[in-house]
Amino acid sequence: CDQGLDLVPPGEVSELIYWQQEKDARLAVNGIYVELDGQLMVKELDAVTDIGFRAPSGPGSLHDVSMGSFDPVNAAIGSQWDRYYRGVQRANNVLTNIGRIEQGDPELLSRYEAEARFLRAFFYTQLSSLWGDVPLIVEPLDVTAQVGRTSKEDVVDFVITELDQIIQGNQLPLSYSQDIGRATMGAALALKARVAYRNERYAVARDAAKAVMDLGIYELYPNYEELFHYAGQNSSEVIFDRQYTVGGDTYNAFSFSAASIGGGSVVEPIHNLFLKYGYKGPQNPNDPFENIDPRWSYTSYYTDQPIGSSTFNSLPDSPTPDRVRSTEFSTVHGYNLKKWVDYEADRSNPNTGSINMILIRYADVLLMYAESKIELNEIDESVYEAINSVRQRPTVEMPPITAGKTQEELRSIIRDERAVELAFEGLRLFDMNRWRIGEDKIGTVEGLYYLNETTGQWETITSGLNRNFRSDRDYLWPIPQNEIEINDEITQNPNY
Amino acid sequence: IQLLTTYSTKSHTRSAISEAFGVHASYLIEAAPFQQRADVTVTGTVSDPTGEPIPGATISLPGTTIGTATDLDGKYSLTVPEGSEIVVSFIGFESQRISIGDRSIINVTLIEATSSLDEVVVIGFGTQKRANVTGAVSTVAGDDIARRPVLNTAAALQGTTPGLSIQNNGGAPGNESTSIRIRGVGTLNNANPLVLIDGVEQSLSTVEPTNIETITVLKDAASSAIYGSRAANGVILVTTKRGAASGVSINYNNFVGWQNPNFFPEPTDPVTWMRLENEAQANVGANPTYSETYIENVAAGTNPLQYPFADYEGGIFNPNAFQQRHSLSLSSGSDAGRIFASINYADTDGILQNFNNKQVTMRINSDLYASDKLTIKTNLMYRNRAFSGPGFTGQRITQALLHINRNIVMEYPDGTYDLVSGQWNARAMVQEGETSRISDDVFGQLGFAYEINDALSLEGNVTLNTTSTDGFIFQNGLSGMRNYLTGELVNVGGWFATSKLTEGQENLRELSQRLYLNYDQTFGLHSIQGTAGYEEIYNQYKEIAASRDNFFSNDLRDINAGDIQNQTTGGYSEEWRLRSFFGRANYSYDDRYMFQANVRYDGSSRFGEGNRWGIFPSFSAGWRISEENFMSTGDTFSNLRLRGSWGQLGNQRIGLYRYLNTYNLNNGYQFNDNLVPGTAITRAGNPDITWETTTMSNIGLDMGFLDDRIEVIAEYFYKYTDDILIELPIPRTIGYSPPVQNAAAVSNRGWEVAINYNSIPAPDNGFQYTIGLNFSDVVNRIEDLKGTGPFFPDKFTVWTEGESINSLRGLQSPGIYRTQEDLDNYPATIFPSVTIGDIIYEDLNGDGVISQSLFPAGDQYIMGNEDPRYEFGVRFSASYKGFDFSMFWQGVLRQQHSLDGALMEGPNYTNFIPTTMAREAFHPERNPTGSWPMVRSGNSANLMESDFWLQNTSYLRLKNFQLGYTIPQNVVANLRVYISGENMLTFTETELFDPETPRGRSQFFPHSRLFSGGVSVGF
Repeated sequence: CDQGLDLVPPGEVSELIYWQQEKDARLAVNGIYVELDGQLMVKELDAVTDIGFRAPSGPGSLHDVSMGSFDPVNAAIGSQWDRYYRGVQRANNVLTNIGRIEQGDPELLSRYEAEARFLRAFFYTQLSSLWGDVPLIVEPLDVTAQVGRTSKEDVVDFVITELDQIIQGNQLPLSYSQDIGRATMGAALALKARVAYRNERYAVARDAAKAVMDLGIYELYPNYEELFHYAGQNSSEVIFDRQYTVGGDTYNAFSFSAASIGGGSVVEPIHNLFLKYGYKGPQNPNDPFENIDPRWSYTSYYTDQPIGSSTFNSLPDSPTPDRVRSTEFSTVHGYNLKKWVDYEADRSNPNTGSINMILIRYADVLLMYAESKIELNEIDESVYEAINSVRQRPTVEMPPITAGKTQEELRSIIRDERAVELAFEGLRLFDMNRWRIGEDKIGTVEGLYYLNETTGQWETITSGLNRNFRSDRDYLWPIPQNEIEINDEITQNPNY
Repeated sequence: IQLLTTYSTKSHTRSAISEAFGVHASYLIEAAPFQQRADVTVTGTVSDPTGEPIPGATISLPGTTIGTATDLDGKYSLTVPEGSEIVVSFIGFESQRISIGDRSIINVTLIEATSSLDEVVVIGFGTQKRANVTGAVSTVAGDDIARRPVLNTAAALQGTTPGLSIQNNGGAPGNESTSIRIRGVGTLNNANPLVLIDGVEQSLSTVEPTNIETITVLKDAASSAIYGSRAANGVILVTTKRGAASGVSINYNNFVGWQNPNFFPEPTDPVTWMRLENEAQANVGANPTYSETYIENVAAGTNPLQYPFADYEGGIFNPNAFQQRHSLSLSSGSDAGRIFASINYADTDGILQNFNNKQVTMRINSDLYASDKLTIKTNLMYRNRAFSGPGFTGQRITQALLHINRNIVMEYPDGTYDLVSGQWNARAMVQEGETSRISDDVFGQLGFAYEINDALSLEGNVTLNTTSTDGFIFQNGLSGMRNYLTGELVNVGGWFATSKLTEGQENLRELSQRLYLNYDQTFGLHSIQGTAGYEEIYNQYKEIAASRDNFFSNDLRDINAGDIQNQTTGGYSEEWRLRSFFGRANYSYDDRYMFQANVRYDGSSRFGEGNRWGIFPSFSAGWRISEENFMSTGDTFSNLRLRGSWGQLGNQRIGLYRYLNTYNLNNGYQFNDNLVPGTAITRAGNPDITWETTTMSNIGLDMGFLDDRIEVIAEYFYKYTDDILIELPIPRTIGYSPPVQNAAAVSNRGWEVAINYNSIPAPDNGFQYTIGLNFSDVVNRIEDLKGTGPFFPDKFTVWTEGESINSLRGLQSPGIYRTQEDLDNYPATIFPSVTIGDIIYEDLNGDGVISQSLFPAGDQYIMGNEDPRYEFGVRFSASYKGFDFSMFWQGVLRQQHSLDGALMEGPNYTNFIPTTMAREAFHPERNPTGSWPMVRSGNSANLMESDFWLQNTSYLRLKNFQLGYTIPQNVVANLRVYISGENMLTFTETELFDPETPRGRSQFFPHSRLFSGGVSVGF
């Protein structure tokens, strides 16, 4: 009777016949990369910090996180949790099954295994940074399994141990000729530096960062603006990134940016970021943007900057679609995001934006190295050198930090340096959490700094939106409510 | 005398008398050769089958006022043109149409009319006398469907049958969306009923209303269990027309109509609009958007290019959109066989510009009498549908209309546009690009019926049903467009940045076969019937799509003219098979006691080994109390029958291959701009899944009074669906999408009443009328979610135990903050910025903040549900002389919907401003009694799902009215003209959207009303 009723899907592979050849491992490893951080965790995450703003949309977006009015059902938070654990599952699946492959180049299989381990370490770095104690799952589980939380310390230990194994086993190459974008030795070292640094294990961070510097294969890309354009992709400053390409994964290149180029102003820089930029020459009282750190003009669209074939103008009397709050798509506070917008390249088809999202770059490693040394109070020439090399990139050329600073002065300098160098790269939240300065975002959001013709005063544009931050709670994200409800073993973070 | 009997399964809603008088547009009329004729006098006697004369019987010439009645001896005499045709009729008897030929004496024997209880009802794999039907079955006559000037059969079914709920969701022409529910929603999965056209599953939209002989709705388990695993949501059986027993008739009918938007929210006037936008800015301390000069210029209409205010409604709507339908059919029969052939053509313009649908349907249903025992049946249907439209969906265009600021030039004299955010402009969207979707449907069925002996017959058929669709969407690129006034290049972004073509092909092919043996024998007072059979269905679906962008120009729309750099291809295919064995046994005694049992044994490829086969039994019984001796003395009931049934049904519509753990091959990544393939297990399989099972009990009471001129049918049912497949959540940390499990249970309980009244037939085409009323209600409840939940399938809906599947969640609101006192009384707010003029939300859990999760975690509560309660339909039809009139009212007594999106956002996001908002927006000075919140640019605090925005959408609607006149003439057999209106009158509280709207976003192809007129001619 059953004849003909045994129909299997024409486009999928049963797990019973998987894990036989080398190719099976390669494909399953490729499938892990799919879950890497993308636009949201790179461009959008800074909008929940004191330097950016996330446009209002339906409930459950990062706007609510940005405003400080979020709870365990927040969908944006929940979807990140889900994605990291999907990545963990995919990596665990490879690590549990790769041994079943009998035929294949052992060296290649060892590299695949290391890639899976690296990616899992990356996911746990993010998980532990955002949620603190998290379930540490290292093998595929049955759907009925319930796993409780492992202390953040232990998760970090696990990540560092895993990375050490890869590094010591020399399982990953320094670079790839074809598959640029796969995990490398440098990425493993830099990730180790990052996870240690985020957890204030500064000695480990210092050594790992130094090891990256000593590899001698990374250098700062001369053009700061182009580093975030197509031109800067796969440059020697990029240590690890989320890759995109036309025909594969793409995104709308302008959707986060200005209305006049077809964007929806999803994310915008705010006054607080502007204030962190220094000046390379004398300040002009009639033009706050004159002589300012060039990285500001590479990061933000502000009035009188060229945009597309016209000029950006978000002032309240602007005739352009960029006028503040003139449409659903226009900026709420007057600035739009310019970093990651390669207008000339994407103008013909913004729907297929494919600039890779940089997850770890060399400037970050240099600044991590410097800060670790500062925190360890090992202030020496190498600290100044690391900071100044970032400040004096050919297209930035800010005056160097001169020697003789105290630890406290340097601490303040490096914090601002990180903010302006790494704005809208998904790192500010982790810095603020580590520095415990979450309260800095409290208050009315202020935007474009402009000369109000009526009052004759320099003013900022505000929308009246007030942001909140609860220091007894908001340094960690809430465990998603649906996880709490189903997983009896898990507990919520405090005060949610 | 040659008697012409027409096979007809009448609905109980239809008056046999009005039919006899030819009031209904008849599809089957004896051809009468016409020539200029002399008058002849015909005489004769009219008697009943026992030979008793019938006094008072009418003899008339159809289409004329010529007529007479028999005297006390049953005799008559009438002068009519030679060769004409007379109709003899009398109350309680079947009318007869008689060609007089060259005879001058015609004696007529009238046969007593079969009461509706003797009607034959189409049921699964056979027919049954209505009197013997023990399940809950409703029928609708094809004529009633054909009469409605609508192109969609589903729309014509609305309100005809209690327990059948049809919601018209609007839609582009040819793509109207209707949701059909029989007795509520019984599953969390696909709740569509099984629609079988000539025994084969097809969409209701594939059958032309004029080709329908009859529709049967099987509502309870007893009537539908023979369809087993596909029947849990009820079954609709459509039988298409077959040829006449003898003679030839040709029928043509048409209608032309004009459609207009119905209930599209009314925009406020431009000046009020601009002032309210300015107010929204002023309320947040910002500069006004529009200067006084601007407003004055717009008001005066001066210099619209410099002071534009876009009239999107005028720019995209197509007033009096034209619609026409023509259908021509031929019906013929002889000793050798019979044939029904028809061709239908319909052409509909959309109420949005540039939308159109044309469709042609051809059908041939033939029966060849190969011998006196063997009949070969062939049904062939071919349909071509050609939909065309601009490069955007009506939904997208409506979204643009509702969301985009109007201070732009909709279209410059040179055909260029202003674009908001580089892409939005409703006018440009309705003008640019091209969509076409061409489908070919082919249905071929070859079957036979063989009478083995008096009792046994064998029937079977093989059916191929295919649909192939070619989809084509070309979106124009507008890059390079220059501003008309300044000559500068316009920044073009989004979808207008580059041209793009997406082409797709879908192919659905279903091959099915069935073979069944019928047994029918009567032994004295005992009557036994039985059916046993086998059915197999194999269904294959495949789609393939390709796209390119950056075309050489907007006019070169061949895929080869596009840029290969960003080309994509994709495809998907699936297949399933269902193998079934079924049987039915009926026993009745003296037409008083009847019993029926059904069983179906289904095997489905959707489940893993061991869970594949399911058995679905049902039992029912009926007791015709009015046939009992103790009843015969009383005259109250002409019919009284009690019915009861119990049975189990399955639902197999749950997605394919869900029992397997598979590596999905579609997880590719890219390294260094090279695509690499990737795999992952994305969803956990569940090898244990099996059928959803619906258990249903039904009690029915049929009553007839006054010789069945009043009929009352009442039903009560309880339906419990268990083992509903649901993705019970698993810890997200496991890293898979959850597997489906047989875990949930849903119940529906409800009742239905249908009452029909036929007036006493009037002689000489006098005034007579029919009233039909149906009324029903269903209460839905999720009985079990295995202790999990609540689930949130979308941002409004909540699934939780003890509540309806369509429950709505939201915040509770006592109104808006009007005073400082209100602010003190309700200190908890959703945002710190909330102030006077905003909506108050109750802090249900008392934690000092308003949060959007369900109580007690947050402050949302279940504020109601979207289930329609107390649905009703009222039909009235009347005729007098050559005139006929009918109207059909339909409505819902209790229903609510939640408002969403643009209509409540208004100037806060430079959206559409409905008149309601202009009138109601609160302002401390200007409008202190306003019932809507204050407008405040960028403020989203009032957009939360809350009971504040719940709308009462109960309604009463004149779904259709029709006034017709049969022109007296003797050129053709029948000539009727009529005018008709659809949705012409609606009584409802809401003014923001059509009450049939699924949700209050109004962001879909708008609803329409239609005024039409037509002609039907019979030869």
